[in-house]
Amino acid sequence: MRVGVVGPGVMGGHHIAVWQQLGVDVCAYAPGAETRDAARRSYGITVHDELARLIEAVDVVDVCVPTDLHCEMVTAAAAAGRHVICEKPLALTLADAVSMRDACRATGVQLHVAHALRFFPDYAAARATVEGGGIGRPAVLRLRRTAMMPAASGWFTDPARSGGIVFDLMIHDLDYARWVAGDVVRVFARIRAPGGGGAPTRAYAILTHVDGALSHLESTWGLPGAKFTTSFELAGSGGILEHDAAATEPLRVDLPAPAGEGGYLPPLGAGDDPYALELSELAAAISGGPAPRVTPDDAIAAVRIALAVGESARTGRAVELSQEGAR
Amino acid sequence: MKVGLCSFAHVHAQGYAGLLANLAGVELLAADDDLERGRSSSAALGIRFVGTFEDLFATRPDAVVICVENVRHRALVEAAAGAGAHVLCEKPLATTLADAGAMIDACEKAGVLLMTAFPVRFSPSVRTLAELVREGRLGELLACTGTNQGQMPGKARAWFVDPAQSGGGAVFDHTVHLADILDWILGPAVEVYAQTNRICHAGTVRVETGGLLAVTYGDGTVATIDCSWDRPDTYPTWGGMTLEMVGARGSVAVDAFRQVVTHYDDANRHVRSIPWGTDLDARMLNEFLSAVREGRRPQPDGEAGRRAIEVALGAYRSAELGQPVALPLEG
Repeated sequence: MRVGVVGPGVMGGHHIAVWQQLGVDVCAYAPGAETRDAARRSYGITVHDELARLIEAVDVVDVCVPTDLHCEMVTAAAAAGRHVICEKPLALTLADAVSMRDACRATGVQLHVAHALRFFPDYAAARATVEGGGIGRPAVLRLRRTAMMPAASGWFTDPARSGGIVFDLMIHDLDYARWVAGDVVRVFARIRAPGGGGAPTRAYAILTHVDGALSHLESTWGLPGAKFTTSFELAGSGGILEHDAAATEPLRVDLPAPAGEGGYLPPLGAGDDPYALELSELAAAISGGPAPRVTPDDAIAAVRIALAVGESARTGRAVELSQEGAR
Repeated sequence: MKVGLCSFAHVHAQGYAGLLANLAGVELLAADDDLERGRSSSAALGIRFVGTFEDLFATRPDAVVICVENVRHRALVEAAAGAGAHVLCEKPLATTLADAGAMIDACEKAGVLLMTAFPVRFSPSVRTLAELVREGRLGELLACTGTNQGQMPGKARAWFVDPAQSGGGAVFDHTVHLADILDWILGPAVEVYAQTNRICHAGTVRVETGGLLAVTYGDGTVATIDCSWDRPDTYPTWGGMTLEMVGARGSVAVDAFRQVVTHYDDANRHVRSIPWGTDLDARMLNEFLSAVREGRRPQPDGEAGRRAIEVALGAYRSAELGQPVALPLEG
């Protein structure tokens, strides 16, 4: 299998590193010369200067460009008969998301959307416990996610490109809530973003699921002094699963840092990196193995819920989601 | 000062009695219309049981603590006011706004004080949070995340889950503490959205056990409240209360009942949290008795209690409609 990463930025670069760890033949494409040079230096790979060259050279196109470019890249890959891996979120509109799925179906290629949270071992273990009946029927879920404010110069803070905090950050938990507690029928959301001056952004969503479960989602960008952290609490009729990632760090170092080192982090082998687990599961599916734990329809459903979050926050009203979904 | 404890219907009554019995200058009398329960509970506590509420009022108490079932708060508070006793009333103050209003009026007319029992107002961490916000240290306020989750209280007291006696389930029971603190810090709420469910304990109770609210305040701050009775039977504690407030400059988070020692107990085959933090009930009773002695309005007062139940009642209406509801409620 030969993989071509489109957009070797922060996430694309990590994908390249993982493909290399997995022993997969990988190249990349970037339109800008500086980005191409940086990727060549960092990974020692071929970096094409035309998308068509990359597509020609690979079996699988791995789309890691800013979200607003996903549709164009996925459609081009599908048209050329290449399997597609696409970073989350699939798209910023339902129409794009559906057309991307349909474009891949039309040429008989696989589409896999990299909703990585499903591969994080804490989240996966909790969901497996729920599936095994460990908390009875899911009743009230709490999902919390805090990240540093993305750099102002990047595309993340341009909602037209990234979809803002809902599509970039909250969507992980929107997908997870649906994976654990079922389809969502009603969405209420509020987004508090005074903007500027280093103030944080906080988004809330209250989801009502088809079987009556409720989910409270809280996503925050840029809380002064806060690092990336996540937590969840899954309460059901028969028990509770609690998890706070910050409280589960296995290594605490109270030593003066040697000069020049950024800090102590336990090395992540391929067995420990959720992105490695994710890409290897998706690659296995492409090679004829079992369907992975996340499907294009899951990704489309996540887009739909994210759109409802935005609509509720804008209108102030709760948004009903019909259950026919996007066919 | 003569203080009457009215009824052992509420699980908190025993705690109040224990605290009041040990206060110098307080003569504690207990009354209960369930005479059997009143007699045995009083005996176990070593306090004097005088009989029915009428028997208690005949002794002209200076103040009373009302611990009857929620739906009976109004009648007993009106009787206490009529007997000239200052009142500390368990939460929720009443089950309807009309009842709450009548209780406030009755006490006003009789010239007696009315306080609502919100012990978490007396948490040192909560008070520090309130101070930091008031001093502007958080900058422009954005959002609050509140949780007041618990185990289903029906096992301890069946009336808690009988809507005819309690006024409702988890929403009525657990919205009000946080609604009161937020009202105290942010002013009155202007809108509430809520969704409820009955998945936990669905086989045992008829009332809602799960609830999520989003409450908006005049300055645009959005606060979410999780009032669910979703702590399982095996949970090491009854539940807890947390409140995080986020502003432009940073955040402050309170976990009001975090101060516990964890006990892994093979003999009883369970894990339990042993609380060692500040006794909030003691501070609350101190505020009540001080207000009575000094002849001043206690906080939280009856009006605060009324505003807190208004948020809960608005939440029920919103859950029915599936849309947010403006506060204050009309009609």
